[in-house]
Amino acid sequence: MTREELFNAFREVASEEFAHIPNEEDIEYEFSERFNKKMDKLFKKIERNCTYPTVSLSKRILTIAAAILIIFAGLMSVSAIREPIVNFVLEFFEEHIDFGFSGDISQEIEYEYSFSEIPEGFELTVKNNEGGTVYTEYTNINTGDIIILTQSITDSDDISVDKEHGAITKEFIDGMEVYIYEHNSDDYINAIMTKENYSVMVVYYGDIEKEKFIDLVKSIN
Amino acid sequence: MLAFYLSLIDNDNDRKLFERIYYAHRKQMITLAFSILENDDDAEDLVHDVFCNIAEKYMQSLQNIKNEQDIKNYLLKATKNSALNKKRDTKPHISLQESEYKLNKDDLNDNEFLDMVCNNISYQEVLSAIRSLDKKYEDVLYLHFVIGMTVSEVAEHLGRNKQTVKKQLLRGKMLLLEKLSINGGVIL
Repeated sequence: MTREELFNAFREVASEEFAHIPNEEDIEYEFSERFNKKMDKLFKKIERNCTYPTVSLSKRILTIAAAILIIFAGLMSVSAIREPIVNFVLEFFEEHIDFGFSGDISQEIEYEYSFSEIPEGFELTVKNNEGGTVYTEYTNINTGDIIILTQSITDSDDISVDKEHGAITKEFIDGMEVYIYEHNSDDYINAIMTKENYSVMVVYYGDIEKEKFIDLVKSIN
Repeated sequence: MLAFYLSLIDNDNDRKLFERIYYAHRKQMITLAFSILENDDDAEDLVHDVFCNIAEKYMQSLQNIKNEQDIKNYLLKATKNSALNKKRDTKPHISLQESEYKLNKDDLNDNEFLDMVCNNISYQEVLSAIRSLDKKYEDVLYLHFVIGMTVSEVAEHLGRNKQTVKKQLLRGKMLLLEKLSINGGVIL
């Protein structure tokens, strides 16, 4: 007897256990609205995860090909309350831009940033601090919109932003240089900035006016 | 970073497979869950939890399964075991039973086991021996050998302790050898 035949024997016995369950199309069952809503939410989350793989953070492994060092000092029109002491190092590629960091690189998080105000309807759903990143997620259970705030040490993190499906602009928000990525679908926006010697990112999954999103970014302290 | 999202399905192939298995088996899963839990709400919660777990942890396992019947068995076994665990309030009954067993070997290599079974044994004999195994061993052997899951994955999938599954796998192999009257399957 071959191994495949042995596996078939296991398969046959495993199938016998469920032989009494009718075929899917023969079962008349109406799932409750509550169940359908929960599953819709899961599918929506998966859809977003597949549609927006636009921002990913990884170990710095790319060689610096076209690095542009942006020095914050002198560029800011208004002095920030917490002035950044690390700077962006941008690498431009055809399909994406990689954000690295230089300066007084942080190796551990000594101060945690947070939003001073969360938009109405959002609740804290995930919070963890591991691998040099504080990850905070808020979910609006009515709309399914999600806000993510991440704060990372700049020792090992790069941020890669896809250029193909959206636009990146550089803006000054309260004297702070912020890179804003807006997805073509208008259903995703994120902001990347440095604060002191950390990289900070805000992500909004859902439909939000840019002004309101910027207010959210401003509320980080 | 973005650990929560990255742990969920994040590519189209997985998403398509996930959708396909959801629509192909959700009613069978709810039927099975209801038959154990006898409550619509509990059964629906359980099926939702099983799909969440799959979306977060088991898409790789599912992608590796090439046989449609195995996909169905995999989903229904996950549903059955989750429902049974929920019903018995996750008390470690099995661990207590397993700790009573003494095995005559520290380990029985998988390849050695497969060779021993496949040599000189007919399909009908093996089928009959597997049928006579206790379900808890049959589940572990099926998931490990046919689905290709590691001991840790089987443990997580069945909601059992890893050490328990390790013992069940070893004992299951030896019981099967014993039922097939193959030398080496004697349990002390």
